Amino acid sequence: MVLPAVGASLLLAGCTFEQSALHPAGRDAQELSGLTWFMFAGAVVVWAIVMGVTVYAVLGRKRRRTERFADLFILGGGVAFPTVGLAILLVYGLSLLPNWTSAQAPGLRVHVQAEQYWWRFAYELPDGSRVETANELHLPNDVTAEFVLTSTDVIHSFWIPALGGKMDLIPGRTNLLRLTPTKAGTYRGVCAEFCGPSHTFMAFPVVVHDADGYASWLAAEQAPATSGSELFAASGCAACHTIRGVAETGKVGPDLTHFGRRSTIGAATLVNTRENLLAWLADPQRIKPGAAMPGFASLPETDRAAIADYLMGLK
Amino acid sequence: MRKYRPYIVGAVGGVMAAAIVPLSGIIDYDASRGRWDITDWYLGVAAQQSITLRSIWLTVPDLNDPAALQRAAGHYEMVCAACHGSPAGPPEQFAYDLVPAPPRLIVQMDNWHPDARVFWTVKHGIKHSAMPAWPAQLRDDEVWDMVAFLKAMSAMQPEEYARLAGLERPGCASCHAENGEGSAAAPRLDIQSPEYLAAALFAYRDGTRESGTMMAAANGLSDTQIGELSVFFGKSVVVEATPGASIGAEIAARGIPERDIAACDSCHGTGRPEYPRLAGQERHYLIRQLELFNEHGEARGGPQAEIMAQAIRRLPNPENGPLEPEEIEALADHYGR
Repeated sequence: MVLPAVGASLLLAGCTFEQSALHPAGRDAQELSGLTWFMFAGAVVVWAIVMGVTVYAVLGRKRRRTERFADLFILGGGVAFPTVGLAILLVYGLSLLPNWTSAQAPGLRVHVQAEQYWWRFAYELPDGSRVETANELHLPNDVTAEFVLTSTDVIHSFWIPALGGKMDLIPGRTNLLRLTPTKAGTYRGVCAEFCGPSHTFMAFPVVVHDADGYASWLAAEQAPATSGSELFAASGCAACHTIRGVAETGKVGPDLTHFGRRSTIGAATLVNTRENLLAWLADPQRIKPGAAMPGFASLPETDRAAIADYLMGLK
Repeated sequence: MRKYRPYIVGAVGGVMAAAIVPLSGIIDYDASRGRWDITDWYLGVAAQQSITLRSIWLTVPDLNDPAALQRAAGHYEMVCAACHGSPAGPPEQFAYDLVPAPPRLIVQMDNWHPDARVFWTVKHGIKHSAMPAWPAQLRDDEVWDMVAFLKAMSAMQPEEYARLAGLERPGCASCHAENGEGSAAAPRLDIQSPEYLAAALFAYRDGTRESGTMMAAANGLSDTQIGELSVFFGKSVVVEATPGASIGAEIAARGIPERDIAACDSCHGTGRPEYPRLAGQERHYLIRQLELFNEHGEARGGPQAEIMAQAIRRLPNPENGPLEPEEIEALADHYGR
């Protein structure tokens, strides 16, 4: 009973195409999927030719061939055809290389810092200041966003399959990646370089809005939190987590200023529900081995519930 | 098959003969008649040599800290003196009838060297004797304190021993002082909340927080006694940390964000009663506890150990202690007295 249910849910999950390079929703992904289909078609042609020749060689009429024919056949099939075929692929492939090293300014710049096992996102505003958030990316449609990629610990890789290619985040250096979404919707980004035991739980939802939707999201994200919580402060949460306008010391863990608006907990590990949050607060290591967050099972349950309610209320 | 028969019969017979010796009860295990000299010599040499072999590679730390004597003296009086005697008096009567007889350390310590062998004996105990291992195998620091104390004991006057072990004050006060003000031997209790002290005593009693000294002290306490002691000593006296800017003050207020080390004050400042207060605590105790968390992380034990271990963790090299020795000193200077 369980297995068919799991199978069905996997199939259904596949149907949403949130994390599929074959269902492009960005300019790069579009080009990459074009390249993929072109190569697939080419591979089908080559496969058909090779199979045809093989079948002919085995079943065809036996006829003596001249040495000259054999030379030409080897030169044509073994040298000329691959050279021309690969050259076409190379030219096509090279033509897809991003050309944004040019001075053209992007429409939006987001600083991405990967840490085991979550994502720190800082949106650069026109005045140069930054709005920090975490584990959920919001982008305006049809605007080229530049991602400034760094890492604090090990090598990670930033990949939103629906929007384009991937790029490594390497400690001690800064990599750039530009992506242009072309279709509003919700997608999923992942860490694409094994980075530790919870690598598979290091993902993030990507929400592509129309221009108005993005502007209102950013305005709300920029606003400081409106309420504090004595329990949150006294229990030491603020040692690692910033809630802008309330507690701004904690720089170690993800910013929680508008935690209640996010759709997931622990970098897309759990759906953001009160029940999941309570389980997370009590024992995050069980859910996400190696996460830096300690468990607070030693605190009274009522206090954890109050902290969870406070966090869920941070809209 | 036939040609192996003598060997099979011989092997089975040999095993049966070996088993019949203990099964028959002819081996004399009575303590009342003592042990033959030859057995005593044989097992004694084996024990000595075992200790020597296993302690060869130990590095001996600096044992010249005068406070170490005070830290170990109370435990010696509480646990060791009954069998080994002390400058204040002879061992309990039963100790004379133990086989092998425990040595009178005040006489014999002088021929007992080097320090590494003493350490090994105190930490691991001796099989087939009444000598137990140190109950907290993580706490080498406590064992080295005991080694320092044992070295000094043979030259110690009874008054000096009584002062170090706090003999004139019974119970907790012998180390923690009359009202829990702390001493060179033990941490302050009066700055803590009753909730914290009770949780610590429960953790020592059930062995989830490691300390040979405190496990022995908390072992016999009932739930009611733990409640009463926690309320008596846990006065939540508010002490300010050392004022002024310093490295310690900076780590306390802001942590070390680039190394993922959280700000201490977030929990230890005015946080929950379950978290210990640090301001005004004994400096040596702060250093010891930070070193324990640095080296052992969550295994240091106690109800909030996971939180503390994660607060100072450093990835991706967890085998290195997350805090540098200078940072531990700086924090002890900031919070301690």
